[in-house]
Formats: sequence, structure tokens, C-alpha cells
Amino acid sequence: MNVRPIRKVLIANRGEIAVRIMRTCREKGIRTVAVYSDADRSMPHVLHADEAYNIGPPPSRQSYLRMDTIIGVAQRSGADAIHPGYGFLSENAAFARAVTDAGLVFVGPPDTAIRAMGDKTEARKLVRLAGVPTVPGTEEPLESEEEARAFCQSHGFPVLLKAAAGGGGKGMRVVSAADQLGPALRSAQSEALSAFGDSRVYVEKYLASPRHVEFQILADNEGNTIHLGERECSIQRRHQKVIEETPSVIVNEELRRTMGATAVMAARACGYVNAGTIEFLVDDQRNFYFLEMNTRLQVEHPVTELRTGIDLVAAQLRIASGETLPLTQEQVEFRGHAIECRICAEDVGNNYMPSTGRITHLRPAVGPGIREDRGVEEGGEISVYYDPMISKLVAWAPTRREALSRMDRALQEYEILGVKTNIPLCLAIIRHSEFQAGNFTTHFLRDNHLAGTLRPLSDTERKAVALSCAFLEEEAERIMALTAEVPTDGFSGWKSKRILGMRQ
Amino acid sequence: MTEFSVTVEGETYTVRFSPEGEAFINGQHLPASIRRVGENLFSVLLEGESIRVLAGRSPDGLQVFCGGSELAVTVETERTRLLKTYGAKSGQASRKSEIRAPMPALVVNVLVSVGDSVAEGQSLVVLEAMKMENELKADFAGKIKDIRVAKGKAVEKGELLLVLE
Repeated sequence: MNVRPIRKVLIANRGEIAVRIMRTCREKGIRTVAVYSDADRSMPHVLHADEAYNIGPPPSRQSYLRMDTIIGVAQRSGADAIHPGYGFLSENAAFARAVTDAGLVFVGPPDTAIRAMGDKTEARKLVRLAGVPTVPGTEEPLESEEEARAFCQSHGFPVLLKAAAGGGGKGMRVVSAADQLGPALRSAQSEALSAFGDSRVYVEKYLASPRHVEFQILADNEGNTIHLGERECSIQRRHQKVIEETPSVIVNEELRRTMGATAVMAARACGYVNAGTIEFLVDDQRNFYFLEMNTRLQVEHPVTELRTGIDLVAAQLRIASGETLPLTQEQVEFRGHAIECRICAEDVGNNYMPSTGRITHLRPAVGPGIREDRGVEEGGEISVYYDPMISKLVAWAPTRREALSRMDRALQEYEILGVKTNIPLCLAIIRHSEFQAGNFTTHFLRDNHLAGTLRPLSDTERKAVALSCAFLEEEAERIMALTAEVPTDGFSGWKSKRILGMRQ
Repeated sequence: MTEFSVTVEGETYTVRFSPEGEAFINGQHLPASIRRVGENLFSVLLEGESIRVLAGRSPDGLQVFCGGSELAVTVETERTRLLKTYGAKSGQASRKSEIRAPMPALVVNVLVSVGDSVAEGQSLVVLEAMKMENELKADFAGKIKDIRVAKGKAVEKGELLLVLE
């Protein structure tokens, strides 16, 4: 294949991943084009880009999912490639096709590979034929509730309902009893329809206590396919990953070789090119089963970057421009331990409800061995329209124990006000003895009571908190007293309203 | 001089500051140095320790962090105590007949119509917030009296969605 240099890239995404892609582009001398919805005019991805264009109202369906608008912007701005990031249009085969039909480079796999792996049922059939082990499940998306019942009768509960077009936990339901099947099926279908525009759902046997271990793949146009090791992603809540790390404590040299070779086989089975991820479930006997392939850059890709020293976005761009892989499997070197926490705006104590609002204070953690990928700044809004992820906090250290200590320190340093976050939850997990010992499955958050792992406040700290809060309140009282003295004409009315607003 | 009653994780302290800025806790003078080092950041030097306290106002009250933990803190003064006493009078036992949005969200679906009889636990409205769907269910069996929202509408936290009787 001819090398076709990429000089300008449109990033069809927002938030931290758009910023992260732009950073590599700038390092490589590639110009960047941002697109933004009406809600995102002031967001960092617009500020980081060389050019930025509005693509519509806040709801994704009217902006970040508008293929024609985005391709039109790419053409008008003179971009020669589109990077889809993750989420949004990243695993949409029609989009990948439309991009290449428009004469642009799609920084990702060919649309045929996205289609082959995007239909989860077809994907499992495909990799099974290539000799990759899979979990028992329906071969076709469900036609009816009766079909689901029949599967449950022969394989028993629990079962897992999954969106055929899915990923990221959307349109997914665990069903453990017959009377839950109907309602769960309907809500999974409706969620899948709204997330992917495709309501098809299939059912599979649900492994009782698995670990989620995935392999990073890189493949070029010459048929060279390598893996960059695993990521342990078992710490999840409702199938949304919270903490990821590499290496996995259960993967030794030999298992890494076997699983890595299997992952490469799965990628080859669909003619995969570019960066991708093969997800496996691993049972307590260390049997592993192909779960699905994510045909895009993953949220948690930084842990692999820190452990291998490879810039995955740079690799994606090289492959997309037609270059061959810069290294062989034998040349991949693994060094140390990396761990990532997804800092999300959510109210953990209130059933993990999304916490929307303006970030009034933000001071991220820095220092030795810390990387932070973030797409929102102080003053920025966490809105109802998009993902509640604020930041990815990543720590690297020579050993797992040191990486955990480093993450613990960074989580303590991280300051954020205005929205509630899961930082205390992340700290509680990092400090949990079973997590530290490496004894956990995907049910860790469901099965463990985490409140007890946080260090209680000392008496001195408690007093310091009391003093600080009294200080804060005294100031508010002073402002109240001041405003009470001014007459309530129009102007001071506005002023006192503003102060009252502060006090809410 | 205002006295503040500060409750930190269930423990209550009486705090006041002298005009010179000296701190008193539970009537006792405390040799503490307290500085505001950022809009929401306090540095307290107390009993040989340097303690960093992050404290700011949020719509739900005070948001306070220290030592990596989020803390439940309330501050009361004479004035807020009075407000609370008055406020308590207007409070009444609430029957959950008004279904309100628990968070800002998009209405994905309204599963009932005005006049429908619904069973306890029946799904009424499906909300989507941050790509997760949440079903709101009937607390008791009854009849749909009023529906204030339609499919596709964006609603604020606490906004009335429908009324059940």
C-alpha cells in the first residue's frame, strides 16, 4: 500500500479523548480540526485545536453523530483524515465507509472489520471458526422473548442480554430469574436503540465470577499483527469500567503468550487493521473466552502506553497513512506497572446518580509517575448530554505495590468541587485489602462494602475542618450583613440575588 | 461575634473568631494558624500538623474534603437555626404522588397516559441521563392524574413529570 501522509486531521469527538489525540498530532506536526456542539464552545478540545467548527445543538444525535455534517466540515477545512476517538461514530461502519468514500482517510479499521466485529453475534461466529474460544450464547440476535426463554431453559440462569451493536455497557442486562426476562429484554432493547440506533439484542450464558482481561492489538496493511499485552479491567460497575491496570495479576508470561496469540488470531479473522482491543472473560480456572472486539482506541489505552512506551495514537496515524508497524512482537518491551482511575461526576452515595453542574474548583494531581488525561477545565460544565467522565488519572511505577501507592497519593491530591465525584470510591478500592492482594472479579464493587477502608479523620484534622468551614461561613455572614445595608433598588437587588445564589 | 456550630462527621464543635482573628473551639483558645490559600482551599497549622481543607458551596450545601475523604459538614448559626425552625412549620408528610425527575435528564419515553390505572411498581417514565436509562416507577397503585412532560423533553432535577392519585 502506498504511503499517504496525513497533514491535517479532523477529530470527530469531544472531551479528553479529543484533547489526547490533538496532543499527539501537535507533536507530529499534524494540524487538527475540532468539531463542537452548541454546549461545547468553551471546552478544551476547541481550545486545543488549530481550527474548530460548530456542528449543531447539544444532543449527540444532532451534532457528534451527524456523519454528513462532520464529513462536510472535514472537506471544507481541507483535512485529509478523520479520527473518531471512542464512542460516538467510532464503531459505525457506515461512517468509516462514508469517510473513505469522501476521499478521506479513516483513522481506524476498514469498515468491513467494524461491521464484522460490530455485530457481536456474527463476531463470535467468526472468531469461533478461527479457533478462538467463546462463551455459549445465541448465534443470532433474539427474534422474540420465547427464543430467549428457550435459551435460558437449556443453559440456566443467570444470563446476560447484550446489544448486538453495543459496547460500553449500554443495552446490557443480567437476568437471574425467569420473571425478570421480559422487562429486562424490553429495557435493553430500548437502551440499545437510543444508544446505537439498533435495538437488536442477543443472550449468552453469564459466567458467575469472571475477570475481564483485554489485549491491545496493532495491525498494519501488510498483515503484520502484534499485541501490546493485557489490561485488567475487572473493577466495573454496571459493566462500566472504573479502574484498569496492566499487567493483570493473574496473567503470567505463559498465559500472556497464549492469550496474546489468540487475540492476534481473532483480529486476523476479520482482516483487522489499525489499533483494536480483544476483550476476554477469564474464569477462576484461568480459562479464557472471547467476549468482543472493540474496533477503536479504548478509554483505558494510556496504561498500555505507559507500560510499553508506545504512543497508540501515533501508531494509529502511521498505520492509517499506510506505513508498516514500526516494531515486531519480539521488540515489544513491557516495563513496570500502570493503573488508571476514571474520575467521573457521579454521586456514589446516591446510587451513582450522575452529578451535573459547573466545576467550581479543579486542581488535578501531578508529580512523579502521574499522567492525567482530561477534557474539562475549572468553570466547565458537566452536562446531561454527554459522558460523566471528568478525567483519567494514570499512575506508573516499577511494581504494582508502588503504582498503587502512587495512585493513592494522586487521588488524595486531586481537588474538585462543584460536582460530586467517585474519587473517594477509587481511593477505597485502591486501599481495599482484596484489591491489593489481587483477589477480585468483575463483581468486586457489588460484593464488597468499601466504606470501611478509608482512614478516619484525626481529632486535629476534624478541628481544622471545623475552623475552615466556620471561616467560610463567617465570610458569607459578613456579605449578608453588607447587602442588608444597601437599599433594594434594581442594581443592589441584582447584587443580593447573586450573593443569595452563592449561598444555595 | 457570631458563634458557629459546626458538625463534622457527626461531631459538633462551637467555633468563634475574635476580632483579632484568634480561633476558639468549644470556648477554648486554639493556637492555630488558618489561611485561605485559594477560593476554596484552606491551610490550617494546628497541633504540629499542616492540614489542607478543601471547602466550597454546592447546590446541596457544603462540599468538604480533607485527607482524601469527602466529609459531611454542616454549619449552623443563630440565624440559620431560626430559619430552620420556621421552615419546619411548613413541612408536611409527603405522599409520593408527584413523580419528579431525580436528576437532570432527557425523557426517553412516557409509558402511561392520563386516566390510566397503574399498579404499584409499574414503570411510568423512562429518563436518560448521561446515556444510562432509568425507569421511574409508581410507589402505589393509582390513577394517572396529570402528565407534564412528553418524549424528547429535557427536564431539570426536581421537575414535576407526572401526578399519580
